[in-house]
Amino acid sequence: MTHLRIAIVDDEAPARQLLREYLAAYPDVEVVAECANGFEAVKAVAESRPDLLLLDVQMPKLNGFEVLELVGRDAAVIFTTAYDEYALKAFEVHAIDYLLKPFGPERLREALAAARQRVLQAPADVSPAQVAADARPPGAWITRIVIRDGASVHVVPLDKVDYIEAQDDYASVRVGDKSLLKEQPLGEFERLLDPQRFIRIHRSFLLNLDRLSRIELAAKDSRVAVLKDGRQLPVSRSGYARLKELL
Amino acid sequence: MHPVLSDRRRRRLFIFVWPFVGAAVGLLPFWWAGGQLQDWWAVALWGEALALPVLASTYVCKAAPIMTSDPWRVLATIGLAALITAGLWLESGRAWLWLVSPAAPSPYAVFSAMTMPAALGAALVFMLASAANYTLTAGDEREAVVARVLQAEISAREAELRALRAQVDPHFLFNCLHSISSLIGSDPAGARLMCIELAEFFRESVRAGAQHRISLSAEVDLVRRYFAIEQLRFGARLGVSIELADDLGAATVPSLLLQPLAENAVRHGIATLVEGGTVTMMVTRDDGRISVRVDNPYDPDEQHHGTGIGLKNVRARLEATYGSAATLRAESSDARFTVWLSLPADGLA
Repeated sequence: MTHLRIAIVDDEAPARQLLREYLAAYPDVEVVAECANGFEAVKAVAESRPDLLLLDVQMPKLNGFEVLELVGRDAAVIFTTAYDEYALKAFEVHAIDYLLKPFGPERLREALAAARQRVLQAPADVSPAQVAADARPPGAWITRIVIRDGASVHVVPLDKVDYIEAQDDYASVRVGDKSLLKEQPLGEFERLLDPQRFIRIHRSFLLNLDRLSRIELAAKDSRVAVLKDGRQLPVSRSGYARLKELL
Repeated sequence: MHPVLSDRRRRRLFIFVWPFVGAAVGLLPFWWAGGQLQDWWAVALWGEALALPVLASTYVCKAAPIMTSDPWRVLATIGLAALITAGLWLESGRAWLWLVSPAAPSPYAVFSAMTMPAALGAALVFMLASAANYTLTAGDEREAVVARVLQAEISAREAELRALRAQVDPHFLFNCLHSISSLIGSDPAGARLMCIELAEFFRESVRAGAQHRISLSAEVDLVRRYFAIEQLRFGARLGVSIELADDLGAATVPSLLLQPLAENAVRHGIATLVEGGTVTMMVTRDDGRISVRVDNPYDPDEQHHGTGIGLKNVRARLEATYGSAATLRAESSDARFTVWLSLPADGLA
């Protein structure tokens, strides 16, 4: 059996206490961090490098899915939740284990056994962001973007975002004159954002419609979007069609 | 829907009564004009034929509904239809009696003498039929309205029951059970306390839910119990401050009116904050009315999910109970969410 390093993440002290008690029965399990919110969890992942997070879904500041999005590539995750229809479906689809509160030590044993398998194997090829996206109710668009920067987390409300630019497998989120890099393809962003607010004006650009000042003809058959601060972004033919439909 | 033909009892009544009326409409003018007994059946049969326009009168009535049309229009429509009916019926009678036997002493011989009273009788019968139509239709409509109102009342009551059942969030129960399960290991006395608090809370909310109205002090006790349980879960993160004016405790309110507000304050307020905060509930007397203020801090950056449902429920119940005599106002500013309720202080001396 491999030695398993675990971080417990739950905003309720009794819930953390319970997991500690259950885990005390395993000599090969070490609780390396106990976190009361999502920020602490991201920090713990960077600093203590746990193999596995036991992660609550409903938490202040950063919820369980946002934590998964940010650190899902660095640690395996078992969710603990008191039930959420969409979340459970997402977990099932992506074979992520979850513990329905209240749960007993037996159920935790099964989940740990499965997690050991996963820790030994290469990480799953489905992106954590994908799992998080599937866990939201249909039509519930995200209202903020979370970006990890080492041990700290940026939480960017959408109305601060000017546009998002594709950079290979990354997306660069433009906020004023700052750019924040997030490991998430632009297409995934597009699915998470309200299509009435963020428009794919080009293969590489998702534009916040609030920032658009006008559209100009740059050359025959090619257009640019002029933002309110004067910056210009290319507009593809299909992007122009989408814009026209909305305006 | 025909007011007579579509109803079994009225149809039967018509079938029994009409033959006499029909025969009378034909035979009375016939005898008045000095008609003989010979071939009197042909005259009676002719009278029976008036059943057709009498039954059809309902469509004329529908064309001029008495409630929405000008009274002159109703009169003109019915009068004209009566004239046409009488005319057509007379002419068909003339043809029919001639066909039976044109030569004296047949009824045809006295026909011209009986046209006037016959026409009057037919028009009168038609107009009476129309009046009966209007009466029956109005009765049917009133019945339909009553049925609709009853149906609406039943649906409203059902919705209220549904809302009541849904009010105590199942997540709350699951999370509590999880906390109890944790406390059993580390703090058995605490686990027992939480079991008892939870049981008391559910007992009281079931009792309150079964009643339509409860005293304000009972409602506030329920809220206190709810907070006590949440405090076991959230620990120092949840502070609670409740004030109920002494002279208001006996006032009655719809049961479980305030509990959803308390639940909202925890779920969408305190639970969104890392450091937590304090929920304040102030119930005061204001100009002879009950005034409630619930106030909690929240994280404005939080993506709110499911908010507004609890509030909508409270608003709907206020509306159902007090109409426009109660108000609910909610405001979020400066990371604080505040709800104001104002309702009549019922049940106070």
